[in-house]
Amino acid sequence: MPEPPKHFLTDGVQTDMAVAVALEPDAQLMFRVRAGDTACFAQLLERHRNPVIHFLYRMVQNQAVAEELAQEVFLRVYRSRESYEPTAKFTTWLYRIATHLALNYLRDHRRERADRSMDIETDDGPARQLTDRLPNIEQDLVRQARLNEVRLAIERLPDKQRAAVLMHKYQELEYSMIAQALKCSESAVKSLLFRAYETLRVRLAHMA
Amino acid sequence: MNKNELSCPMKNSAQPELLLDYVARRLDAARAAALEDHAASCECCQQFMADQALLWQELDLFEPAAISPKFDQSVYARLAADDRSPWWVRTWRKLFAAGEPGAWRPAMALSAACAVVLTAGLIQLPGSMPWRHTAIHGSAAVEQAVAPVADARDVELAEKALEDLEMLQVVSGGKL
Repeated sequence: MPEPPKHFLTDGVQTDMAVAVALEPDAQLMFRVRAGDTACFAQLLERHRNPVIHFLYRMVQNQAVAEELAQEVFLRVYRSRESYEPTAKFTTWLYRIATHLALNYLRDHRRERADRSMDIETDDGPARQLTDRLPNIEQDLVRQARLNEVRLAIERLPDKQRAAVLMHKYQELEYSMIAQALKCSESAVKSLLFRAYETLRVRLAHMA
Repeated sequence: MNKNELSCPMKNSAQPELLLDYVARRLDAARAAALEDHAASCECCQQFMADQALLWQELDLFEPAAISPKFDQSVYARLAADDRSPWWVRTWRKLFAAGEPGAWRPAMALSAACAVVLTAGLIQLPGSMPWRHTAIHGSAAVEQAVAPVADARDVELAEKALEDLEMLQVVSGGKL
């Protein structure tokens, strides 16, 4: 972990630190990172690493890319420590960065994704031991087929609808937080979610 | 309608998320009970809730993959590399790749303004765009228009050269 520059320890930071005491724990940690306490960055990483990577994995459906993007998210958080202002919840800010990076990635790799979705079974998913599969190999095959259907249905959603569904279903974010992450109104988020779930219900109806 | 009775969420555009929240178990007990009371007599809501609950189960299949044990190490390596980068690279990143998406916009606007000023200055400077002359002379229509003038100038130059030659002959006594 690099040593933080000494100029972080300023009076301004002390004042902000006083404000941060009344704030959520993550914002307090962020102010301590700004003041040079690098252990606090490790705490932030520990708290948010898994949810951010899981969100990005479901967004881009590729574990290596998800981890690469997650590294970039935390790098941006660290770079922004000097200018950080708790205008929104830390988690909202974090997902805003993550969503921004994921949407950019999806936009830049649209063609590759189209090719990949033709052969989604080759993509990496949760690793399973062969010994686990032997007793119920048929069940596992059925489960794998259903999982592929779900992944494909999610992948085919428009990018913003996909981000909204993932933040709502898996990250359990409030509508207001999703709205801030996607830079739209709460009513727009609700509308996005309604349309997305409707599409998913239709696409996955045959699995019921 | 009873004060505690719920209006149908499928028909009431003010609370369309109520059914989604119910299936996601995000409603408080009182609202969940009110919705259940309503759904008992509303086929439309019953159907929606059943379909959404099934979808919810299917979506649970999409589990995340295992995270690489070297992830933190990679993050710290990138942070260290970032801190070692030259000051101008860090400044550039601050302007164009800060944590807040869209933070580059003021810098982008400034760059665009500078580009406009520079372009305007370049246009105003005389002789600053020689390619414009080349372009004019290069066009066939202009060449046609200029051709007679060029021919007249050539004749004039040739005549002058002959006169000079005659003058030289006079000066040198006819011996060249």
